[in-house]
Amino acid sequence: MLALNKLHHIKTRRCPKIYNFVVVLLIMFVSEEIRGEITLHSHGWVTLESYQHGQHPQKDLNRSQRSEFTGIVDVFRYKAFTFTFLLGNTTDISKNPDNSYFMDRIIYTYTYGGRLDLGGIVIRGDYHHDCIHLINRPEISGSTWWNAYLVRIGTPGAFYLYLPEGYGEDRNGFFKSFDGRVGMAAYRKPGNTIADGKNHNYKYEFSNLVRYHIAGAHKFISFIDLNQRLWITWDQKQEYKGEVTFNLMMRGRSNYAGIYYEYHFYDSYSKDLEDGLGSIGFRILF
Amino acid sequence: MKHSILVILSIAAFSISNLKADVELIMETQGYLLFAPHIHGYKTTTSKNPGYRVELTALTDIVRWDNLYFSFLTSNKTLIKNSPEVGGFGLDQLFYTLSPDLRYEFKKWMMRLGYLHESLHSVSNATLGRTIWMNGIQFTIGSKGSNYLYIWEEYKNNKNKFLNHIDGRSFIEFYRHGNETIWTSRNHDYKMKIGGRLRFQIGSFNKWAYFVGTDGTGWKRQNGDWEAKGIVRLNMFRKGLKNFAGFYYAYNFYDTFSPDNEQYLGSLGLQVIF
Repeated sequence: MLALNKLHHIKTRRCPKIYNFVVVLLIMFVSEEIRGEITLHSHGWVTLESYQHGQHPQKDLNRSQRSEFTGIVDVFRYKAFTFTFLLGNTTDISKNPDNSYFMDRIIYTYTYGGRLDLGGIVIRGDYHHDCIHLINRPEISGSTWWNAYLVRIGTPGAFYLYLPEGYGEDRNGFFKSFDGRVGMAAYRKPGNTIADGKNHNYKYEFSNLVRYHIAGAHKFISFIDLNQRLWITWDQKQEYKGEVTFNLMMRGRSNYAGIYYEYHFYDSYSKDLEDGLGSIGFRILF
Repeated sequence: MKHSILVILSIAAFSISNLKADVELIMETQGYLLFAPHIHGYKTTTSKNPGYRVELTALTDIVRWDNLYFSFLTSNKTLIKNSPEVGGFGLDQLFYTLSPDLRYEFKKWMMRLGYLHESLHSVSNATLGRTIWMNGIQFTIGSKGSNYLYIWEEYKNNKNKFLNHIDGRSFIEFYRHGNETIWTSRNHDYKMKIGGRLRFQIGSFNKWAYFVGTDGTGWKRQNGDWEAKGIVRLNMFRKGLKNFAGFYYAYNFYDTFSPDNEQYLGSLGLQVIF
């Protein structure tokens, strides 16, 4: 309670940010005037994941399950540009020494930005807000949050949105093709406001994803991802997370769903340590 | 429990893909995102967490057999308080809902049967304390227009005209009590829940759809007492290519439900239905 009372140290507002609604409303009206198209197309993914092997690097924490819900709304499109916003949350469930489960923490993600579809290349730019709230462990110095400017460039097949298009109808055989993307984020310097950040020291983040499309048979497809992220802190230290994910998915009428195995072969990212952990999950792309 | 959900979903998906009957594997996900700050009622409310509500709900239709759908529901609702009377800004409660779901569609009506696992986690309110699990079997029947799954269909072909008709639905849920397991109730004494919705479809003008509605829900405790919640809601939604997004104003004119009380609070929400 005390920790949460200190949360964010922002001024309590009786009146909510009504101007946010006004901005959204204006976008809707103005986009029609500039011959844009209001699409309101929503896409994203839901995952349920269970850790299977490995000892959590933080010895007193036995992570058990993770669920993730990410929804991206394409609000309007003007030529190759699409204005989007993203709302997501990740829930971590951990285990007590007596094997009972407890709700460990929740991570919220809000972003707004845009996407440029340039045929074979996709460019995304977002203003990215993440906040981490511990639930059943004490937050000694309050919650953690950050804000960052994020840019990603890659081939369409490296983004979930375009995955269904890439595989098209039933294809049997080996694909033998790669997709990839790179990204960079510049974090706002930690301060004491909701617009800055708290309890972190990150300055930059670099990321890349390499996706190898393995094979397809009937309605099934398989691909493997190598995902790497590198964080640089304000005092020039580095943290790294590397993971490989093997995906086996099945095509439904309009979406994909399937299982995956993920292994974190190296992880020193202090905000989400998973070094040596392997997990099996179920993922729905919509 | 650890693997049961994964196993059930995987077996359902992969085995059904080989069935030769008229079973269609759909994997189609529908749902909504909702962000709703309370804009008035802070002085008069009995709520312990006036502020904001954020909700993410996804219903994945896994397979379809004729007009019968087997689906899985996942939902997360976050209650954020933001008022000096309740200690300022803070994450207060989390509600999770998981449910395997059967739905049968008629031309204008639908029925749903689900086994709901709802868990309520109190983060900052020490008086609520322990996690509440509300496991129950819920049956719903109503017209399609009362459900978010069909609202886009309801309005997609209607332009510049008054619809002027009423949709509705009602539901009943029985909570399962017994030895504490993941499938039974924990830390509450509610016996059943019953409720309904009435929605008046006003019409569609340009690309906007307008409708109003009221929701009423009652919870019966094991000692026979009742708690209830009543809401009116005015909606203004913009039609997209396949989705729906818009604004609503909701007012809780009566609310005695203790786990999520919004008595006399009015909220202005942004909702995207996908």
